[in-house]
Amino acid sequence: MRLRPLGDQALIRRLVICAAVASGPAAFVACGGGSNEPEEKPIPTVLTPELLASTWAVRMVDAATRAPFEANPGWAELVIRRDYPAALSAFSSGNVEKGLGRVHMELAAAYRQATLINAAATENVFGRDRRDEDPAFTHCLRAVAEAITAKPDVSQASYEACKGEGFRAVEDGDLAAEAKAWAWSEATGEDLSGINGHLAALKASSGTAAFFGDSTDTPWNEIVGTMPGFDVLPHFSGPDRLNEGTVEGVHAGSLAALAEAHRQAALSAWPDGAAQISAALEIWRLPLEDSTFSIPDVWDDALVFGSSVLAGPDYAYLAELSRTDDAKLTTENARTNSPLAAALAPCLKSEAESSPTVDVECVVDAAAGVHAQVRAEMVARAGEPEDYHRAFYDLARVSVLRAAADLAAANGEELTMGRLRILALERSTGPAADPVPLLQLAAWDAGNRNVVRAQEPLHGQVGHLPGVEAARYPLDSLHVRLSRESGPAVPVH
Amino acid sequence: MGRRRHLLIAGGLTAAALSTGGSLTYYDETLPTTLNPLYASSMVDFRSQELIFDRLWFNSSINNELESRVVDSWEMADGGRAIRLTLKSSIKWHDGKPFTSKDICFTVQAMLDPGTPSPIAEGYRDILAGCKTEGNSVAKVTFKKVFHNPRQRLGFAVLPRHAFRNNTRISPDLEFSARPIGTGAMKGSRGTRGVVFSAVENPHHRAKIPQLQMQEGNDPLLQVRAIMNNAVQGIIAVSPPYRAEISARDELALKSYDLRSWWFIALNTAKAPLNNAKVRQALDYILDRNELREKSIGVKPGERNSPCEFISGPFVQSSPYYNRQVPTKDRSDMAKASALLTEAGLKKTGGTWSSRGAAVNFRLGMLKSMNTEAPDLLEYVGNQFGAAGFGRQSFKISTDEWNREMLTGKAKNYDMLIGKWSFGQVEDVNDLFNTRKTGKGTRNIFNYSRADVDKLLDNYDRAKTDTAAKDAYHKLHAYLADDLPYLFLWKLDTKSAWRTEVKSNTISPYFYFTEFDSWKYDG
Repeated sequence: MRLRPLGDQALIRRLVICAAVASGPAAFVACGGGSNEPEEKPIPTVLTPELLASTWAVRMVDAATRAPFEANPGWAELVIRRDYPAALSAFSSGNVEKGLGRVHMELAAAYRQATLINAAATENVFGRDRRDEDPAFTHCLRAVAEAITAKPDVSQASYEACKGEGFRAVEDGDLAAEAKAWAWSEATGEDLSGINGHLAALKASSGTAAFFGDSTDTPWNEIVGTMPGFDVLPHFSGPDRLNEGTVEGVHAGSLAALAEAHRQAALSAWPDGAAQISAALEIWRLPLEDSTFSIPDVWDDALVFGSSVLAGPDYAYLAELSRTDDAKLTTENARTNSPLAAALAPCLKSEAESSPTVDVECVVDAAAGVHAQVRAEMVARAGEPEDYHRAFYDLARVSVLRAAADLAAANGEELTMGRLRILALERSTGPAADPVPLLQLAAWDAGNRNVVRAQEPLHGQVGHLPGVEAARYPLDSLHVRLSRESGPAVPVH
Repeated sequence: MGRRRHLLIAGGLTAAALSTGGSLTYYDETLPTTLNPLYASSMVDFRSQELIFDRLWFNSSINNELESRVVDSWEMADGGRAIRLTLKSSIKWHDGKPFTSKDICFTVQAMLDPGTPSPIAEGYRDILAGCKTEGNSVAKVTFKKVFHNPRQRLGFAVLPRHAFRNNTRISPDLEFSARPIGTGAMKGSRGTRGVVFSAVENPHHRAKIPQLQMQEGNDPLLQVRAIMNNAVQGIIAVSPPYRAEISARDELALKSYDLRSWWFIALNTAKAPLNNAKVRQALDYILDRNELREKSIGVKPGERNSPCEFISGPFVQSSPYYNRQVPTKDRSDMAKASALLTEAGLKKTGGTWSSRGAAVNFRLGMLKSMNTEAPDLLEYVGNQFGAAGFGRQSFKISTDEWNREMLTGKAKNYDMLIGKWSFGQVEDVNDLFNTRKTGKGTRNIFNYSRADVDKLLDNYDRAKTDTAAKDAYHKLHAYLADDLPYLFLWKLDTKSAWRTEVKSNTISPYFYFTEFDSWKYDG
């Protein structure tokens, strides 16, 4: 392979871009032309032939299997461009219920991560980094955030502080009611499946009433095919206690409500897929939510194609990981059916009597191995390399890295989890730039007060996910606070 | 042998027998101008210094935890106005001398010494009051006031007292700037063609890579060829047009580097006709940023997830200080530009703009190293002004000249300068726009001076609350977008490339090599 000169920049980028601009029935075979395959190397065996054959990327080489996904341009918009509005529009036009279900499911996951960004930043800026000048209503913002991150006791204390510091019942009544509803949600037995109770409170606020309407019966069907946002942002504002400026806020529950709206829309759009959607969403549940899913018997390709899993059983493996106390056992149990578990099982290593830990270098090698295996198998089945292959096998590699991060999290290795999420981020280019895991890393960073890295992926979604900028308010406040408390710095070139 | 030939061919540099077993070679944008941490003026300087020195505290690149390699324990003292640091034992300087509390206090006193003309030290003078040793392993650092997170403010690199013979007046041009002595993972020595870093064993550092060779990257294509041929193993800043190619290669990995960089064209507001705001506004309308970005960086209009995003003021769009009410100008608007130029008294004859009877010519310069990231940007900008009816002469400016003339406000012969500024979490732009006076405006390229701007910058400095600080910068943004001491261009993400044989190579935000100890090379 030779690099083309600068004058051929367009050609150099073509492989990545051409898939992104293609749409319609030929979306995945639109990029004809020269091969850009790297030199051949020995292909490691990470997956057994059976598991390799079960991956969506390999199966999609078959034209008949791929055909349903070429029948509507929504799939290309979703999988290649990660353009949710365009995908929804295309699926709505074609009345593709599985496509609508899939997009709303992903949106639910994305808004849940935005919820967590808001919550984590709020807890930091108005909790750990609270300053005397912060107005009383920020305690209420904090109460909601703490409820969502499953800290009911501190949430209730924050609510009491909100009231105790001269909270203005008339002007700020909506926020008080909402904060109270969230703070006591666990005590009243309302998990997020009971979010309708919260939504009833949320409806009273100016920001959320617009899309939930006046009825307590949430009109989920009306949301299918749409992306509701907020008419006005921010929802709350008030002078700081020194009267030097105005503090603006949106509580995390508003974003949780958007997430819930999309979850309900996904179930409404594709009723037969409800069990699968619920199980697939399990890995993205909020800390507040209980784990209630059951593993479905079958996984429809509509949930797997172009996703962050290699095959349907991976969803079950990741969902089990999210609630297990024994990551190694869960991985061992899943490795016969789940390609991701099979790839990662050898990377849980232990020395002598110590507990097993995730070996990052082993994971990187496993991801590269899966990448190479999927690529080779796709070429073997197609007879020759085709340009759409790259988008698929690149996604396979990132899937292994992302799942390894989940495995590390389940194994209690937060630093390793972070390292793996960053490695996954670095491989998340082109079609692999799935907004959900990018926002997930941003949420973790917001919790770690790493505001610069958290802001970029969030900023990248503003304009694509209506209302997601609601996560920006506390993150911006946290950034300003932290930067003013850092050592001096001068601009450099 | 083959590897050296590649170096000669691809980089045009001598291999100079620098690649021994297990050693790594990488390209940076240019050579560092100084290895003295008090005088870093570029990101290359910071990156190089990060290998050589230990900062008192730093943030983990993974979970952002505040960590120190040299401080064993700490406690607050004097009611929060001081911090008592107990140092780790057995740490040695690269020349074998013991690292003690005297070095901490020497560094603090050097920064507080008004005879040390360092903009970085200037910042610490607002924070630190002094330092006293309590034996060899304890230093008590005193602040000017009580701070919420005092350790977060102590991110300075520690200097060796003995290397300066206890003279706290530190000048930028000492031999130390080329051959420094630190306690960091690597000992560094700057030559005319590169910097050689060699691992130094120390209780607090155990670099796994024995030698690191930094070379100046020039042509981006040659850089990419060199890394593909394994003639070098890393590139710090990959030119955007080549990123897709690199990410498509199994043996290469594109790495994220969190750095907030924005690009600009500084205008000489002291020189006619650029001293007229209408002329500056007209130039802002003449620029077709979409075309510039497409031609020099390879970004198509409307491209999703572009590494390059237009800005309308001195912050990146994701920053809380960015005023999102101020729109960007993406396309040129020649009608508006012509109207403004006419209002400003310029006349267009035969396609050429003249002022007071003389054709308007611009001397346009660009920091040479930027050509790697945005090839031919200088020519494209010149062509756009030329097509609009202005004469121009273009100059590529070396880093040395940039530091010597542009940063010090001596670039009076130029009308426009294309440059970029980089930031970490702190996005303080006061030094760029404040009127030059003692300790202020230290990076004010054309000595721009406006009382209104100085007042806004002062408001930012004195703000008691975060919201007041943010408001001050939002107003500054709006003011500068209208008055235009700069034509604001874009932010550009920085991406590195490393061969996959280089493992565990976590890249720290801004400083890059903070966690170099964990890097491994299986080559």
